[in-house]
Amino acid sequence: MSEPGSGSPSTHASIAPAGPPAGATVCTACALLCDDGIVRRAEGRFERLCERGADAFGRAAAAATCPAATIDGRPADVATAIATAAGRLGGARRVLVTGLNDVTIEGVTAACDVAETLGAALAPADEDARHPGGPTIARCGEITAAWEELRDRADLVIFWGHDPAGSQPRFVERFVAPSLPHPRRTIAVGTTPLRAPPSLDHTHLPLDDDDDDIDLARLLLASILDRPRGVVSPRLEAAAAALHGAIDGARCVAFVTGRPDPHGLSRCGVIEIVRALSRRLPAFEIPLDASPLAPNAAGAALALTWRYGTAAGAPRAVAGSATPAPQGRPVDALGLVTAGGVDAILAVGRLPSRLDDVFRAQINPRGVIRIAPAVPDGAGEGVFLRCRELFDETGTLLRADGRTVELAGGADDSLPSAVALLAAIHERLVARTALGPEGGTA
Amino acid sequence: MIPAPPRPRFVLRGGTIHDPLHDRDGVVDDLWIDDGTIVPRPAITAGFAVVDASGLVVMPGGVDLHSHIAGPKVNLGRQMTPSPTGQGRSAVPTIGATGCLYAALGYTTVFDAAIATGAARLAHLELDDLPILDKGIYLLAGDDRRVIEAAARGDDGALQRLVATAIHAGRGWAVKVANPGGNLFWRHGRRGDHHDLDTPLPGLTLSPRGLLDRLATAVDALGLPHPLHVHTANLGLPGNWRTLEETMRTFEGRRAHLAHVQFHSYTGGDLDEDSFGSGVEQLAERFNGQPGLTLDVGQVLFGDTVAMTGDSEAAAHLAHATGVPWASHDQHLAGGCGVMPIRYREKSLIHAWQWAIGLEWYLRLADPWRAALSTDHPNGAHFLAYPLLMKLLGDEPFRREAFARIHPAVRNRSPLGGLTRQYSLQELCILTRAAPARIAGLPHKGHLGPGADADVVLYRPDADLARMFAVPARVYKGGELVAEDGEIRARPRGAVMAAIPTPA
Repeated sequence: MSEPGSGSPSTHASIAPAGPPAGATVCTACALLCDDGIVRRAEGRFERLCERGADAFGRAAAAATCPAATIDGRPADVATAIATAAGRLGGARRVLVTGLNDVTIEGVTAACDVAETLGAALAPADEDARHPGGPTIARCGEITAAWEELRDRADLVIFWGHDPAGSQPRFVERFVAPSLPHPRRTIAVGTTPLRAPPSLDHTHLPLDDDDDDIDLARLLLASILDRPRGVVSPRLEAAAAALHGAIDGARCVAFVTGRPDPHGLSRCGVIEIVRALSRRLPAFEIPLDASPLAPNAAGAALALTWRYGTAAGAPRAVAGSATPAPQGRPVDALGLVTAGGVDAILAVGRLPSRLDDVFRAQINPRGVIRIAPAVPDGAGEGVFLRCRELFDETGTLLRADGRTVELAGGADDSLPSAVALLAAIHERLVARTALGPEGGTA
Repeated sequence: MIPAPPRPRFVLRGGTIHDPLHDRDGVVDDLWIDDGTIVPRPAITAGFAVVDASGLVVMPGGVDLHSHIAGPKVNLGRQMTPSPTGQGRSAVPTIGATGCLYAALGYTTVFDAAIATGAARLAHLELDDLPILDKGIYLLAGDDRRVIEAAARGDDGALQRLVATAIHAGRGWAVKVANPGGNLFWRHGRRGDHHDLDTPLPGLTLSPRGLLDRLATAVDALGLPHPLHVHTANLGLPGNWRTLEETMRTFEGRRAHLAHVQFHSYTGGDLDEDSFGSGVEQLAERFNGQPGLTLDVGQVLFGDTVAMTGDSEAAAHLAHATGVPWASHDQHLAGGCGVMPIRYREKSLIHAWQWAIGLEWYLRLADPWRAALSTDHPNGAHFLAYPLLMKLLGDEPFRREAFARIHPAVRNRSPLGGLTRQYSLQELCILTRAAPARIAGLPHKGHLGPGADADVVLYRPDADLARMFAVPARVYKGGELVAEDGEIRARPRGAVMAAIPTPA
């Protein structure tokens, strides 16, 4: 028997969640999304969490006294705050919808609905130019794999200019430190050594400057392909030779990347090396996100890609647009605001503090609408709507390696989800608009 | 929540109806629609609005049973092919544009043909944003390690439970297998040694043929509406017609659907480009004699597009051969994929062969009810090229002109030049609506009889079939006018279709 849908939405809404085991909570303090920790918030007990994870849960407990909503610094009831938020957004000429890296994918799509209703610009809040994913992929491609493939297979792990200890503190512990049936080597290429546990068979190949890895990649690729190469520096020659030697002795090679790389030159170099290696042995890249406040950056990027054709967002969110954003012109939240192109902001999720400061300095504060579990230094002017902590949400997150992580809802459901708040604002906006979000041209 | 408006009652008066399921071939008649469904002429017609359809061709909404519109590899494709200027149309449209463009083309139902089980939840989130169309996904359940182990043990009960669980949890419509067992070969370093169907999988006694056999048995035992959807081994490789022939042999006396057969119908050997050619004549003869088999072609049309496949071995082969940017994820794992841009050129020997082989398949089909028109969007071409493909099939002089422009070696050797068959409007209606609906297992789609969904398309008759099919005059989805002369009029949500496994 089957159910050929005949006009009604699916009745198969209940999917067994593939989330963490019973009693465990997904830690959303960083993009690693660890699901092996044990969290007993009432007892203040956090096992197998890193310091940042424990801090995040602790901070959440401390924020419990934060009001559910404020309007221009004064506590307000949620319905009034929603109406005020919709009114201010609907009355603005140039709205930016941002944040997005700290909410579920369902939250991102709800924010997109709001942006489309407003014809707003939409861009994730990235403090630094992180991986310029789209343009790099279009130019060079990429060969990536699951973090578990690194853990279970790679006997040579090369950290290319990036130490995940700062952004994903438990990455090495969970995916590199576990032993293989045969020895595993790790090599860090960069200006600073890897903060690695002593159990690793580890080598540091120091560079004088972050961008030296671009030249090193050229040398290494030429060496692998047995092509002539110009002399760059004896130090880089030696590093390339050491890397080539290690690769020749390996069965499976993984490159861990993630340093800020605004032009994509570093990453393209690695991609070319991986591609060359992949002809003769399993080789892949593990691109990590360097932003600490971006647990769902990959999910936000994915949803923006399916909505607008680019992970960077859209200069004007239009439902069903057949024309993607032009290549090489990513939407930059910070740039839009500092250029004076915005007179109201809807920020969903926590923001990097620098962005928060810039937004407050550049925009009439009454036009700043925040949906977040808490805001730094209390809410001033503008509208603040308090939502659940991300780890208490129900919904979907995406690891940077493409694995989904399902959040099954946490202990605290006394606060609304970000999705519910966005939906309420959206409903208000649609009701304000004569035509609503429907209609348009293919 | 804003309540949905009531769906209208109306009659499409005096259209020229093509409804192959009910043997109506160009019959001028009325079509009565009430609450999203086609109904018999009511005894009391008061309250039915009259829509003049006289002079227009009336067909059911198009059904695309093999496309790639959502999921990780499609999004990689979107990242790989942003419009260089922002003005052009991407080879991989956004999900919203996908729904609008399909609907404006007269298509009302679409299936994504390859979603890894682990990506099903994401794919459904994405499909929630696909407007207008009814939609479903085929799950790559045959890649799962536990499925392969159960098949290797011959434990059909466990295999059925695993497949049923995958379909239920992933809200799938069908089970797809892509390069059966391929990632096991690949993972164990067998690259360049492309396997046949009878080489045991590494470490197991199970062969790819055995896996196909067990999976097809499980799919049938579970009563899934669509048979096992088979992308067989050796996609794109010279000489692979024998693999497809062996695949057909595997399913003698039973049902299976063969995906994008064009990519699996090549003669020739690795080192001899001149021996590359068409194996369609032998394959079509076998296919026509095995009534349980159905197929889609995966037609190549010339121009820019993006190749994307869950068969990461095939993608790697193509990437290394062409040197184009290549995105690959989880290359050696279940659910892996490969994506790259591709430009099909008339003057390329290989591309011209692919174009000719696809057309040859359509023209050698004894029964169009067993085939679905497809380009394997976006692999062979964008779905917006369907009207061109319909013209190539329905306008023999036009096809002959196109044939005269392709690579001369193909002109000299391809049997296509000698095939003069020309599809009628009714046969094109079968290929694009009636047959794919029946093959997919959709009794409410692909026809205009009472009880069918009121997915109806009105075309202006035109001797230029490409022009006629490119811009329908009107498209109704569930009785609602969704597109008119290429303009979107409404964006209903459309339904997600999920099968319910029912073990016997």
